[in-house]
Amino acid sequence: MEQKGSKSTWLVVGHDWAVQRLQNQIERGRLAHAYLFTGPAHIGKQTLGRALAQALLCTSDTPPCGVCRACRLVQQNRHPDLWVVPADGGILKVDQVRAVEADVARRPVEGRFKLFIFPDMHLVQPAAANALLKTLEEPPAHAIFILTAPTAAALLPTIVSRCQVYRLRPLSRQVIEEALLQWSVPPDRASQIAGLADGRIGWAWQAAHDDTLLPRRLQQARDLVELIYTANRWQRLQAAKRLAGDSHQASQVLTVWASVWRDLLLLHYQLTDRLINVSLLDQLTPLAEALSVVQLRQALVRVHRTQRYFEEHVNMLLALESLFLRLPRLRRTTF
Amino acid sequence: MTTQALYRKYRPQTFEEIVGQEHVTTTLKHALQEGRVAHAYLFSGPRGTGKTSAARVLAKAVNCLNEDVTARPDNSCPLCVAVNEGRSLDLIEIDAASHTGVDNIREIIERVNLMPSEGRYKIYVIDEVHMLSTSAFNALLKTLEEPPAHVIFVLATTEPHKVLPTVLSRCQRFSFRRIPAALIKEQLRYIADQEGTEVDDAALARIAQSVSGSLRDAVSLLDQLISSSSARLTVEDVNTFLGAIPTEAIGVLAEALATSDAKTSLAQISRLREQGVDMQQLAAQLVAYFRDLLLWKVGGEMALPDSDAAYRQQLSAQAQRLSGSQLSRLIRHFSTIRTDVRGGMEPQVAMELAFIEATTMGTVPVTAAAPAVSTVVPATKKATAVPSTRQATPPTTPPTTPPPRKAPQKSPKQPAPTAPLSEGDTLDHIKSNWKLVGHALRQQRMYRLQASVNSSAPVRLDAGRLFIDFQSELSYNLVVKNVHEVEQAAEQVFERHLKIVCLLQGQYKGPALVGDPLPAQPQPEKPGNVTEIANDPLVKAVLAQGGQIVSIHGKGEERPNG
Repeated sequence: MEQKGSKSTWLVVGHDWAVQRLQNQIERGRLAHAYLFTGPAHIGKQTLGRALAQALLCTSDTPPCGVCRACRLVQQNRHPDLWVVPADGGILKVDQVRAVEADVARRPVEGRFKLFIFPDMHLVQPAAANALLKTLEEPPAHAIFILTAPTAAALLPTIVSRCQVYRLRPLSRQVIEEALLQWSVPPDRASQIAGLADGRIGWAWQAAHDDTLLPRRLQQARDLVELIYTANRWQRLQAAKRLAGDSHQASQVLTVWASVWRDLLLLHYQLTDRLINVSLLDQLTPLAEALSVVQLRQALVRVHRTQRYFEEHVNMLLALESLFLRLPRLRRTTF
Repeated sequence: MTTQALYRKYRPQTFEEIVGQEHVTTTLKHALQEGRVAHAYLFSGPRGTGKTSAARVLAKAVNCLNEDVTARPDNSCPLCVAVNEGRSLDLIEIDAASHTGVDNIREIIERVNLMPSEGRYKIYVIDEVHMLSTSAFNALLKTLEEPPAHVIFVLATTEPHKVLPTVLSRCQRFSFRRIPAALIKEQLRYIADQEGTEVDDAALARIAQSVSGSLRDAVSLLDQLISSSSARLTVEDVNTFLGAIPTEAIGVLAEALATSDAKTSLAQISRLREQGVDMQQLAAQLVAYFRDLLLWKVGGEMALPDSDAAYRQQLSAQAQRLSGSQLSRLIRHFSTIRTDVRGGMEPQVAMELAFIEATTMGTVPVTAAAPAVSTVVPATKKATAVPSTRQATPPTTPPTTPPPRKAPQKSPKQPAPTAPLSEGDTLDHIKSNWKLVGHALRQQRMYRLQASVNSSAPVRLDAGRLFIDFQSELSYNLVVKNVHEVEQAAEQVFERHLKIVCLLQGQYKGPALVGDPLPAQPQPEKPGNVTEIANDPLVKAVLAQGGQIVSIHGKGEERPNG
């Protein structure tokens, strides 16, 4: 369970246990030389990594203070002793790792530590991962590596066993809502975003700062409901064509739909307290009652399969058409 | 700032300190005492079981200067100390994982003939030897067969099957075993006491269980835990750290599977996810749990000597609920989650789907001991959404129905759904579930028959006979020929034997029937329907063209497809 109001000054929402543990290690001088933060997208892995960097590089008496020069430089990615090595074009390349290795041995410029953050460790080339192994095993005393990835299973076991692994978990709705309120988001909006965020604080942050995100998402979910009531194949094909025009949007829509189908499945079993699309409850309930488990399950699997097709660069229009034609059909009724 | 890792600090320095590998250490000790040291050894076994440690101890022992052979290595003579401090010139350790090439091996071979600098022997420890390239292996062969008298090779590997047989046959081979959890725990206790930290016994036991026999993993885990927890180390700390799921939670899920309770399992998954459980870990633990159950069924307590009492109790309670074949099916079922997740599916969704499949699709037929089960009745659910004419349908989807006698098991992935026919059910029930019969036929790959059955309509039910009407002669002929299969499929779906009588456009063409002959006209079951239908604008138009209302099919029913 997330506890609110931890005494730490880390600029991290939630994950109190992880912060506490890291803080303990810093206080006792028992830091590991490599950390691996895992967890679903947008739950704050990088933020935690950056906060750890601040805690180690901060020059004030109560690290991390968040206001000293070092802290601010870390926040802006400009600290000379902080290397952030993101994937380059979807891949973390050998050359990037080599560049890091060449620099690891050099003493830090300002503080006692030199930090290397690899935010997309799951996108690492196998050769690059192997190149990193030796450095990761016995880095110089001043070097600390911070890797983040969705799951440890996505990485080489030899990499994982060299790191201290922190499995970050989705935040509870309450924690996100409180964080949103602190960012001065109006209460009703905060509660709505917190529900949709599904534990992903990063998404909540985006939604709070982008006014179009929320209505767009709701509309996308409504589109699906509408589509289920659209029996006409021609209309369905037209809808597929409209969506296929914008590949970025299409994959977003599918993500939303997957969440809707999952909600429908949960609703089917009357598990209302775990829903994501709470605001659509009225529209979803009749659907969940009318559709069978088999249909719901198949629809969810199909949406996922289509998502995978996208990644495999299947013709998007065909994939969407096939999906749309196979989604269940219902007739709108007035009770 | 970084202190030396515990597993390096407590690396065994004598044969006696090597935990759980007595079959290796006593043999080596005897060989030393009798002066029968071989020229090449191969140490194989899982990681963290003491291969490298044993190699180092052996290296010290053969060079040790202590007069008493049984006391070697004494760790106090200059040569032993040199090894312990990592500066011995006669112990050459090679990491084959990063020196895989033939050139690296040639370098060794060139120097093999040089005499040892201080001791009696030069010891070459080649770690991770399975990583050597084939040509490197071959380059080594000759030297490995007949090395100079002052050379001992120790090859260590976790994967002996990758080592060439010609290499294997030149070495004395020792297999290191996974270390039993109890011994690991003992060792952890020793280290914790030495370090002066307070650790709960249960926490140590949990660590020992989790590492599957690797002492190094256990010690470095303890190291991490000690360094990050503030007070006394408890079993909860260990569980949070490992992301391990308590066996009780796994038990709840297994129970939900045994009773086909999708709702409980979904709620439990959500709860676990909120606690930050890694779904892949959950899948792995589920598979391990089913495996334990299976072992328990086969061997009872003997099969799981390391388990604690509470766990055994849980196992023995659940082992009765699930049959061996169910368990093996579940193991296979949950093993596929890994590939689903690799394919880009979100882990939680993959897990939820796996449970829904397992609970609803008849993967887990119930045994008598289990309480009532909800079976899925697809399609009929739709009845609530189609227009009110169908509201008269009796509640065809009771949340709980008596356990199915024998769920069809033709294809374990998707057995046909059933819609048991109870006493009070009427023709409506059969009509609204008629497509399931086609579905059941499809399961048996009788696609043409499925199509024909789907094009037919049940029109009358009396005395266990079901009359179905065909519009097309083609379909009619096919079903008449295979009526037995259709009857079987219908029995599967409705769980009651029905004699099927085929009609062609309302006319009976077959041999004379026993008893009540045939309906002169297949009566539409509700006269009201006809007028209602006739008022439909589309139907009106057709009637105006000289059409005729023959039978009325369900409006909202989906066409068979996919």
